[in-house]
Amino acid sequence: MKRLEFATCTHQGRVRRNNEDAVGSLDHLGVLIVADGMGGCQAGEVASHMAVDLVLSHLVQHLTPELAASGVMIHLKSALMAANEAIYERSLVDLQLHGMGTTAVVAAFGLAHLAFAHVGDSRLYRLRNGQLECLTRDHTVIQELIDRDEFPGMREALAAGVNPNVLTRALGSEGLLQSDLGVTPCQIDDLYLLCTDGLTGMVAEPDISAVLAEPIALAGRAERLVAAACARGGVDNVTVALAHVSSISD
Amino acid sequence: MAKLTYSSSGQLQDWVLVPNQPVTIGRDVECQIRINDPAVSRHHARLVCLYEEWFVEDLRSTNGTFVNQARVMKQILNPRDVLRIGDQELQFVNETQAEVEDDANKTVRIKPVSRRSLSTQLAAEPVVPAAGIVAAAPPPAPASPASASASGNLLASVEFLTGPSQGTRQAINKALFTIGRAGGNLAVISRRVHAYQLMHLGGDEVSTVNGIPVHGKGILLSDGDVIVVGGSIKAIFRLVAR
Repeated sequence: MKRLEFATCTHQGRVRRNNEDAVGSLDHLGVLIVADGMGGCQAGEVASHMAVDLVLSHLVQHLTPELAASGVMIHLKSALMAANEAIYERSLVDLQLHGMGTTAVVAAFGLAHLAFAHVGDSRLYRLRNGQLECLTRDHTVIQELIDRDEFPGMREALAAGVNPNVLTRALGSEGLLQSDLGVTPCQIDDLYLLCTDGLTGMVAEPDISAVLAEPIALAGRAERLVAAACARGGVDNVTVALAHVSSISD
Repeated sequence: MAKLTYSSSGQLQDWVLVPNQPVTIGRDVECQIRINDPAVSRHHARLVCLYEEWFVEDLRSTNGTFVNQARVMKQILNPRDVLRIGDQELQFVNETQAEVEDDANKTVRIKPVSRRSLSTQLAAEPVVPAAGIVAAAPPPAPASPASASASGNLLASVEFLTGPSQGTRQAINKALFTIGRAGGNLAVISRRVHAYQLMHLGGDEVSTVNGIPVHGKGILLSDGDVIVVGGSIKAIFRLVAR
């Protein structure tokens, strides 16, 4: 069996009064999730925590360690759909929570593969052989403009005045949800990072990579990533979840 | 509703901008807005609405397209921006720009149905989303993860037009760059990976960016933005490729 080690860390940052991020895991099933809520009056917190709770409770009922990656992906998709519907319905019923929404990135580690899904701008990264790779593509206006070739790259889009913080999709903001799914083989010594934009907005990728490669315990690296975001201003909530694949044997 | 206001043959004209209907400007009769000026190219510039924002795009014109005096290739239009093509000035007006929020870092989702501008100051309380349409369905595109180190390739600086540092240009080479004086009117530009943001830190006279008061946690800055701190310090924010 493959051995997986998890570490998570979340912090409200240095500017905000509350933490609208949420993080959760199912250690025995190899599942990690990070969510970044939005909406005033604690609605963001409600949305992100609902997302984490609902996705995990759905997966606990449906995932088994033997399930093939394709089966896991189906359950990831239905878990996000169920969470989306519940958050959306609650936002319609409860006036205080009108308009709430949340991002989510969820990763489920199988025998040799990692299945993942995301909505919004929370990301999944992999550090392999010293190379940091982003496995998700943000559902943001700026990213989609670049994907549509309206701009050659992030730099040009920013220079043209496009705001980097506007999402095109979020969990709970409308009845129908489109999530992106992916699957990738995982190897011994892979290190995976799920994070909210409170990290990626403050800390550049080479710096994230450097912290991930530090020869300290996984939990220490999670804390250092959060500390790095705070040290660079910490204007947003920041949440990281790390997964280290330490051995695979049958 | 967004529109362009300009004067033509001594008359003030309004061109109402409708999303999904790009507008071309030029000397050619095919152009929706025609400018009869030899300095204007046949197909000079185009206005297009993308994700609820209006952009101006230069169509490789000979003499260039200018927004607030800066030559642009493709640029988002903010309320009160002045577009110049040849000698013709066109003012961009966006009357639904009212919903403004004070936190430029807050992530927001574009509203599924009605529009709202999020460009200069960000709307953040996502308003009740009406059921239905997603903002836009982008065509499939090759996957390319976002480069998060954009500001690493850009050089930000502030040119002081008035005040104690008048006539100087100072590079923003630290995480927090203050303008004004502690105890008096004070503003700070903070550097994020993605962007630069101006916040008003202290003083009774609220700082402004392009005439818009900076409330709460700030306004994202674009190249050419005019910053006024405490009424006496006026500066231009510059963001250019290294």
